[in-house]
Amino acid sequence: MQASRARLFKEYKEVQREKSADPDIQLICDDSNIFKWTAVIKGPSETPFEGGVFQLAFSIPEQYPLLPPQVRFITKIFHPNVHFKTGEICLDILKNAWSPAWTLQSVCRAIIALMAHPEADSPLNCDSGNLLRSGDIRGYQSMARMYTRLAAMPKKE
Amino acid sequence: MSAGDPAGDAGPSSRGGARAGVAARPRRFPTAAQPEVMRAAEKDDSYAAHVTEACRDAFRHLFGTRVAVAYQNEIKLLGQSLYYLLTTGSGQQTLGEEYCDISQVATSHGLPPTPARRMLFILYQTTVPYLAERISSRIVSRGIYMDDSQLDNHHESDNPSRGITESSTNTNESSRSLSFSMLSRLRSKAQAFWLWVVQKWPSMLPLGQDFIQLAIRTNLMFFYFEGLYYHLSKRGAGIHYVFIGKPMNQRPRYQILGIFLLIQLCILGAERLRRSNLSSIASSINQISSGSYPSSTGRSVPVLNEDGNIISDIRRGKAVDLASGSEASSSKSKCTLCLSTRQNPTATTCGHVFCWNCIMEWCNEKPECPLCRTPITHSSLICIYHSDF
Repeated sequence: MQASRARLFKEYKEVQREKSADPDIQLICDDSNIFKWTAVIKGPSETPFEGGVFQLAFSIPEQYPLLPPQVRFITKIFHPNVHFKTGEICLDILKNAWSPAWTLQSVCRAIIALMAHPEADSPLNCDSGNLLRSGDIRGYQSMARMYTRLAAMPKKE
Repeated sequence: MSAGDPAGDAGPSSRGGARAGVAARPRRFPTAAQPEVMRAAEKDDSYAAHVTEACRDAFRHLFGTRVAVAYQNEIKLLGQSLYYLLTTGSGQQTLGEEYCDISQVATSHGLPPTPARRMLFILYQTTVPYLAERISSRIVSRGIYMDDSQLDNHHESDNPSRGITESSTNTNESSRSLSFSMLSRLRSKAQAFWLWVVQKWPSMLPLGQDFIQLAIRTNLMFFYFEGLYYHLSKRGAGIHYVFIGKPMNQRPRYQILGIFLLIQLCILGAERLRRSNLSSIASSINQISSGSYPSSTGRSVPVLNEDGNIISDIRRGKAVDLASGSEASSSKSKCTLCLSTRQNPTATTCGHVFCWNCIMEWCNEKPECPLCRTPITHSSLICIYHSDF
């Protein structure tokens, strides 16, 4: 408890200090609870998610950094490794390959990398995974782009 | 000729001067140049080392390894003495001197050194360093021994001896007792001096070493300038070298090195002075800072309040110790697990360093290195003491 608080506080300071270091990631700590964070990440370029802004919710266990943070997409996303309804992310470093050397910032980077390189063999979103596995890249990309445009783009009025 | 030359211009004057010198002292070997003296000394050192090695081997075969190790210093003394006695002592050139075509002379007349002078040199070269080292180490070990047996002990041990001497003076005649008491007083004074030396020695030893180092360096500087005495022992015995080989055209000189050494010595001396001044200032500052310690902690509070404003009010209490920790931490000695300064730095077998607690807890969770996933075990974690990285 004490250790996780201390570590999260360090990460908070680090994020404050290097706000402009990575323009694709914006980490915000909940005002009243240091174990709740939100992140806003930009979809990587040359992917169907380009131009989208995705919101992530971090829920950090008290044993952090011994246990990984629980991360899920709040913004809807069409991606084989993200559950379409709950936003749950299937990423090994958030499960059994977690290492305490990861930080929230680096987890965000890993999620951006996952968006750019979907892993169709362990799908949480079966429709998306099947599209990729059947080789229908075009279908996958258009679906993903459509959902990005619907859910992750600021509305223009 | 010599009268006419100084009137001439600068160009020919030097050549003329040399010729005049040759004319005035027709059969005089030139003094050896620094390179030859140094080369000879190096050669001698290596040959002496050979002899020492041979002595050590002989000892080992005769008395076994343990004795050879126990009497290492004595064997070294023996080897060196043997080498110098057989060469310089018997009036011959040493091998190094022969190699460089130089020969020992004493005094300004250029005569070979007398046997007494040679013995003196050998004594200086071999025995004096040995004795100095021996006495120093003896004193140190004695000091350690005395520290072990408590300091009070020798007060007590002093008293009985005084009592004995007093009783002895009572039984003897008055005149003899007078001399006895004088003797005993002298002895006790010597003993007190000895005790004082033993107690002070650990603090004086570095100073003494510094001094010797300085003396050697100064001697080297003078050698570079004048090119006479490469070793302190030769300076002490007044033995220097003449060159008896074929005269060479080019004889390099080491004056520039001497100048550099002089500069270095000056800088060292200046720094020593400055430090002695500084230390007095520092001690006074220390007193002040110890007085002002509470105010420094007070100063850190407003800084923390700024931090507290950024984050929510609930966490302010926690922020105090966290922020003070981060202020003290330097950027490079951080643990990647707690992101703070490493507490009890602990290395994995793959060479990554963490806090003891952090890596232990993680090791309970999963026995692999957090950075490179190398399998680790609890028992393979090594706490690193005295690490300053």
